[in-house]
Parts: sequence; structure tokens; C-alpha cells
Amino acid sequence: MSEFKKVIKWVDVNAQPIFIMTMFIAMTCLIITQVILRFFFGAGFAWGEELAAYLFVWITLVSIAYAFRNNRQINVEFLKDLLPEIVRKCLMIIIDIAMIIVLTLFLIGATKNVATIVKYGDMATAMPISLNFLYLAAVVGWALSIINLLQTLVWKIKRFNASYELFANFGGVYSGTNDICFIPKKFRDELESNLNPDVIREEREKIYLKKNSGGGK
Amino acid sequence: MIGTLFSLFLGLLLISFPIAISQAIGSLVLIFKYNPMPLETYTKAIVAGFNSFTLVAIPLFTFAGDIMGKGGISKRLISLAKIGLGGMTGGLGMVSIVACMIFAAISGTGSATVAAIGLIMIPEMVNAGYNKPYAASLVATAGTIGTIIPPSICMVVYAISAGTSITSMFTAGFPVGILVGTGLCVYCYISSKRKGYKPVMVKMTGKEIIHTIIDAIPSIMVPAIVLGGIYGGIFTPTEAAAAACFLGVVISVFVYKEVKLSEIPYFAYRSVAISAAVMFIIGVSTGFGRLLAITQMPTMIANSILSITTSKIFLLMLINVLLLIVGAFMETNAAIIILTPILLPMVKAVGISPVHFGMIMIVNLATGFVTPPLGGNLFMASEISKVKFDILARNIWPWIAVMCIMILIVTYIPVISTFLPELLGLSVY
Repeated sequence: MSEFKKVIKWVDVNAQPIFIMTMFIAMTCLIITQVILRFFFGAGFAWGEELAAYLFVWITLVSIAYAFRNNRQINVEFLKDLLPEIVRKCLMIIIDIAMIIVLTLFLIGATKNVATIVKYGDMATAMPISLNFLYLAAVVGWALSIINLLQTLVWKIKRFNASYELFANFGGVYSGTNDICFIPKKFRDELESNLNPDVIREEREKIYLKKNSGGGK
Repeated sequence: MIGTLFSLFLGLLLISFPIAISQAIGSLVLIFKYNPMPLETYTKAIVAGFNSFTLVAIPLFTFAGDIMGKGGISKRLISLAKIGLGGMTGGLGMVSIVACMIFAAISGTGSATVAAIGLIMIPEMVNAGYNKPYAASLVATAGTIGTIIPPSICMVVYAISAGTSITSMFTAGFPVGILVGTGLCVYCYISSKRKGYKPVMVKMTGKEIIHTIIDAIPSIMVPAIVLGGIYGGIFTPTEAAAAACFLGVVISVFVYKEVKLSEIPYFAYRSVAISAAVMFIIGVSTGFGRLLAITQMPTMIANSILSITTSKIFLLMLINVLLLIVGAFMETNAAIIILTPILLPMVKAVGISPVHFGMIMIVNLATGFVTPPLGGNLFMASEISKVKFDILARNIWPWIAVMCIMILIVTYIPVISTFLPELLGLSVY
């Protein structure tokens, strides 16, 4: 792998977790400071709660996008599990495409919201900043969701002939999502011990590709 | 219009579309077909739904529960419970249940409670001669108390959907959680006697007892500060959650020293990642809720059901059955967000207080944690005890029966849910 590709891969795996993590810690510290100030000095900042809520909106939208990346959305699966594997795989691809369409509509709506706020110059309630510090989060969040979904869709299409476990990649475990730079070794080992070694070999040696080309020739 | 929205939503849900996306597709089709509101209003409602200081409590309580579960607090709570109960028939079982109840006052979810207590207690019960599936189902069921005793993420979600006070819900949860815990202890005693599980004598000197109590004090301090702060009006629930995070870090890193400071970022990331999917449903539901309100659907549904029956007893029975079925198949918070706006107008019309109804809903859906085919606590208990899921699913039924009795008690004796908030002068409406 070239240096450039390595950097891209690192950013791809780490950017969203690092964003979520730092913003969460910042938000928590802000709320704690606020409580301490109020408790001991009788007064906090007027803008504390509003800023915390804004940070939370950003955290939430990026983490929702991140959940798309790892196939971690909540759904009801018991009927799907009764279907034959090939139908299940097709259904999952259809669902991914439907999600991309829905999120594109969300993105269009969110962009219009931002444009309206620019037009009327709406401001936040307690802070002297544009309301777009809040609504821009939706544009970023939905756009990121679409990018993440496209990535998982490509993964699935490429591995259509692979085992179901590798194809579905629940929790993003086989696409290297857990290689986050700040994951403690203890947790990484625990996660890796739950992986199926056959599937890891399948991905490493790209057995599904051989199966495919073998059939073609 | 109701037909389009709900049949589309349910249909997509059943063929495994993510819950939030099913709701979104239903809403978007409605928006484009009947034009009750523009797309911009809908997407704006989603962001406005997230922009709530109250919601921040959800990842914060997740973080606090997660770090304290890993930080050696569960061990101390178990030792504490053993002093009082270790010597009775079925003692270890009851120790597990009581430890779950105390841990519930720290953690906001059921599966975190199962993991924290089960990891220690299931092997210990098995060593003392308990049947392994029995021990695993006991802890899985006791873990449901994690969402009934405050702080509870389900209660935060309910209070937001129902527009009631979180503090009232947190207060009401106490007696209900103690009731459920007592019920489980009684069943544990009876079944242990029948199975012949002898008490394990825990011989402790006075010195050891004092040492155990002193060692457990920091663990007990967390719920005392967090809940005391909320009830005393010092904190909002969100600030209390942040305080719990702070205390959790201090205790696990500096007092018990079982978590390293360098592991904190990962805990932070994980608590957000775990809550993300539920957050998506909450956001999309805000838009969905706006649509429902404009089209007056909940009132129409309530009226059509109330035209069939206005008997409080019968209506509550129907709702209980519905909640149990939904709880068996759907993620709890998602179920609360979707069902509350539809069911609440109905029960309000027959004079049930939102806080009482909230407790009914939470106990029902908590039972859903242990009902196969889909129960978070069952999965967790199966994973930590290495008992196969289907064996566990066969052994869980007596415990579900006990939970059903608890549901009936909570449903038909409203005073259990309402006396404590009323005593403290909180509103139950």
C-alpha cells in the first residue's frame, strides 16, 4: 500500500471516532464546569446549556452517520432470517439503496433550512452566533451518512458471492472499523476474539473473488 | 392517510428496514402525496428534536454505567449484598438480584446491569451447585430492574415523548423497582428451596464486615449524590448524569484503580456509538410526531378504540398484551418513542396519569428484554454465561411469569407508581 493510500485509510477509520470522542469529552467537561460554577460561585455561563446542546447535535448527527458505516441501525430481523441467503442479500442491497434515497431527501431539506437561515440571519438564543452552527450539523451529518452508506454498499456488491457473515459485516467488524487509534489493547483483543477465523481468512485471501472468476472462466 | 402511513411503516419494519428509515419513508411518502407540510419543516423538526439539553442525559448515563461496570464497583456491591443475604436458602440468587437493584441505581440500562453483575455472580452460583441456565436466567431477569430503578434511559426517552417530568418518572421508578426486585427474590427463594440449593455460609469476622462496608462506600455514594441531587433540585437530570460520569471516572480510575486514564477516550466513543441508533429513531420520530399532530391521527386512533371499549381494566389489559408482544420483537427505546404518542391520548382519556402509564410501559418493555426471540438481556446473559441462547430461552419462562405478575400489580394498583412522587410534591400529570 502506498503512503498516500495508508493516510487515506487511517483518516477513513479514525476521523469520525476521533470527532465523536473529543466532542463528547468537551461537552461533558462543559456541563461539569457549569455545575461546579453554579454550585460554588452561584452562577454559570448563560450560554453553557445552549452550547452543550449544540455540541450534542453535532455528536449525534456524526454518530448516526457512523452507525450507517457499520451496519448498526436498529431493525426487526426475525422475518428476514427466515429467508434464503440469496434473497436476504438482495434485500439488504435494496434497503441500502432506499436509505441513500431517503438520506438524499434529508440532505436536500437540510440544505434548504441552512439557506433560509442565511437569508433571514437567524441567531442562536443565548450565543451571539448564527443559528447555522446548529443546522449545518444536519447537512454534514446526512452527507456523511450518504458517503458511509455508499461505502458499505460497494462492500456488499463486491462481496455478493462471499459468505453471509462477511457480506453483512455487522458492526463493521470485518472491514477494520475497530482499528481505531485510541482503542485500548484489552478491548481490541476482546473484540477480535469474537471474530470468526474462517471469515477473516476469506477476506484476507479474497476467496470470494476466486470463486467468482473461477465460475466465469 | 392513516392507512398509508401505518401500513407502509409496518410493512417496511417487518421486512427488516431500519426502524428510523421505515418511519422516514412513511413520513416522506405522506409529505409528497398529501403535502401536509413542506420537506423543510420536516427536516428542521428532526434537528430541533436533537437540540434538547434533556436528551444529552442518554449518552452521559450510558458512559457512567459503562465505566462503573468495568471499574470494580459491581464487585463491591456484591460483597455488600452478601453480608445480609448470603446465609439464606437461595442466598446467592438473592444476592445477585439485590446487587442488580443497587447497580440499577448507577446504570441506566438492563444489559449493562446483566453484564456487570452476571460476570461475577453466574460463575459463583454455578460453583455453589446452581444449575447454569437457572443462574443465567436469574441474572437476565434481575437485570431488567436496571431500567426500572432510576437513573433509566428508557424513562428519559418516555418523559421526552410523553412531555412529563423526568424527575417524577425517576421518583416513581423507585418503589416499582423495589417491588419487582422483591417479587424476583420471593420466586428465587421458592424455586431454590424446591431445587435444594443450600445456603452458602459466608463466615465473616466483624472486621471483615466493616472493611467490606467501607470499601463499598464510594460505590454507594454515586447513586446517593446523583439521585439526591435530582430530588433535591440541585441538578437537572442531565447535570446529574454529567456528575455521575465525573464520579465514575474518579472512582474507577483513582479510587479502585481498575480503569486506566488512557482508556477513558474509548469509553467516551463507545457510549456515543451505542446510543447513536436510538438517537436516529428519536430524531426521525420528532418529525413523525409533528406529522401525526398535524393530521390529528393519535386522537382519531384513540377515539376509534375508545368507541369499542371505555373500560379502564379491559383497555389496560389490551395495552399490556400489545406492549408485551412489541417488547419481544422491538428495541425498547424505539418502542417507547413510537407507541407513546399513540397510546397516551387513549389512556389519558380514561383518566390514567402519564407517570403511572410510563411505569406500566417500562415494566412491560423491560420484560421484553428477557422474552425470546429478541431480548437484549438474554443475549447478554447467554454471551457471558456461555449457555446457548435456545437453552436459555427455554429456561426463562418461569421468570417471565413472575414478571407478568409484577406487570399486573403495577398496572392495577396505580398508587405504587404515584405515591412517592406525590409525597415529594411532584406532578404525576
